[in-house]
Amino acid sequence: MVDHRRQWPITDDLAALRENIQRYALRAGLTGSRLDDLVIAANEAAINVLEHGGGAGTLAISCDGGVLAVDVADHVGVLRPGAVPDERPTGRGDRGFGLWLMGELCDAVTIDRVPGQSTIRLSMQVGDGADDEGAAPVGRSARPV
Amino acid sequence: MTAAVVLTPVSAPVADHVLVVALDGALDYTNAERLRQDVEAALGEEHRELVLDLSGMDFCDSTGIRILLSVRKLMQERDGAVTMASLNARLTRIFKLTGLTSAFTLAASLAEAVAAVGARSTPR
Repeated sequence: MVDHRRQWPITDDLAALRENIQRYALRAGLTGSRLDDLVIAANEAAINVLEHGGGAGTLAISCDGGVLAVDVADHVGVLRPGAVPDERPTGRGDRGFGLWLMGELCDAVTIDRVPGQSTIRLSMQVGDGADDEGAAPVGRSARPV
Repeated sequence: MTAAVVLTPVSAPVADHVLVVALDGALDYTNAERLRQDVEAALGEEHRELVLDLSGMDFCDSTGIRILLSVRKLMQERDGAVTMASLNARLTRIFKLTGLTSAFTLAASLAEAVAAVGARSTPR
């Protein structure tokens, strides 16, 4: 399935951003706990931009070939590929904690860096069977947040 | 900014040293500090135990978790604890992942939380 790419600026209106992500992901076929996981992970990526990534950026979401992808870009470009920790960091306050959480919640997390911009990509499979674990009827957690 | 989490005192059959409040809304990076201030303002000198009814809390991110841990520390300094009731699926997920289920007493319902606090502590 190819879906239109949507993009929003990252501002302190995180509630609206979460609602936009949830609406798009639900329409792309992500449901239940996996939908919750993507919304939590995308929110973490957005607050990383607000807290450590210069305070401004963009969040784009697209769906192609059964993979739902959220791209979160900052305008700083300090975050490097390979920055996602395998093990849970001990401090809850640092950037590594949010990155670790994204890695736990999503099927894949990759970081792309060019001068002046780092982009975190959060990927979730939405194809048949991919959301067996915790699959629930659409709408179970579709309440706007 | 995300709308502030609304803190409402709840009347429950508890001893004077127990404060019960309901938290409604979404707790995130933009409003977490505000909630900490509101909780601190709601606490009286007599309160050693805090019970949070989270049935109306839709979302909590890592910043919210940090704030809840600072509230826990506040209650520990009073020789008390924080008990949380009625977490939804999304909150349960993030609490489990971050190891918070072991940091707090969790209860399925407010009644269960109140009973747990009553069994654990006696007034000074």
